[in-house]
Amino acid sequence: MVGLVLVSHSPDISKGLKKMLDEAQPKVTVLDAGGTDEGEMGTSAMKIQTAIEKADNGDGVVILVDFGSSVMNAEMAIDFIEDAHSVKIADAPFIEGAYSAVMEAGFGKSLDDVVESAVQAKDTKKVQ
Amino acid sequence: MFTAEMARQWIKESAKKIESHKEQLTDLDQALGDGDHGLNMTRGFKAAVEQLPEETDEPGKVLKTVGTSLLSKIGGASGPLYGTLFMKAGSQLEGTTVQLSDLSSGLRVGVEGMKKRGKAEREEKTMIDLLEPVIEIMEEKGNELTADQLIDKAKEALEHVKEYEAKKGRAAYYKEKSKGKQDAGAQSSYYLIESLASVLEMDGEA
Repeated sequence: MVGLVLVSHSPDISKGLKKMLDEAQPKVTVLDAGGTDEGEMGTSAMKIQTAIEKADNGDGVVILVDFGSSVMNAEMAIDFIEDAHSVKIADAPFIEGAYSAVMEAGFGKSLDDVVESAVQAKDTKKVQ
Repeated sequence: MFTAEMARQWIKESAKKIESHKEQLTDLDQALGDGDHGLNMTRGFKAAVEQLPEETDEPGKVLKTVGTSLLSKIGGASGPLYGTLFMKAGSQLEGTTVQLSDLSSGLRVGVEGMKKRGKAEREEKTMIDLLEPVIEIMEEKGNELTADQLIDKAKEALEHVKEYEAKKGRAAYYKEKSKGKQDAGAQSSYYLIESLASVLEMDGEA
């Protein structure tokens, strides 16, 4: 099953989102990797790298990011990982993308399918 | 020559300058970003000094270690950016005998890595606008480079950055309002170059 890593500047946002996703699909491994190593606002490539390694059950990992250094540090973390092709950053809204991704991952979909579902969350209309 | 000891001095000097300008960096970042640059850079460079490999004679090893310290300790976007600069530059410098022209080639690879990592080009009001012109003068002067040439180019670049409109990071939200304000990252890059120049100057006098 594809695993998820959540990277926001705020550790609380990542933690809160993980809680929401765990309720939606308890079978999926979701790791929150928001904030710096000291738990402050920011992001950490090392923290993200550790989370990727823990989230990977053999079917790959999708990383959801907010913006700025989240993206850069997620890319750096992937650079440090040997089996980098099984890790992808979804170009998706953080919360909506993560929710779509966890549903698809829970249905046993492939890495590419999970990424695709997260990306599609961009186009979901909230107000009709 | 650019020795391991000069590399260590460069980082120690940078750490001092950044710490003494912590409030200025914070103020600049508060005006256009999220206001954590002074604190982040001070923390990062303090860690880099503490983790400096004192034993090695290889400047490349010094810079690579610095890159790793900055990456793990800065926290903001500057962590992966400065981390990439020093890690990439360091991995280009082999052995104990490194010339200034080798340092400029290393920094060139470093700054290209930063541009790729931050998806930034010139004139987007970032540290690139400070570092790349400086690296160009280093490439042009080769082993004849002087401290004054470095400082002059860095000062000139800093003036230009101020006038650009921000296109990257949170500063980009300010659009044309960012013109006339200094970029915190370019300012911290300026201190790195000023520190490098002071190390070259000391070496010239030795």
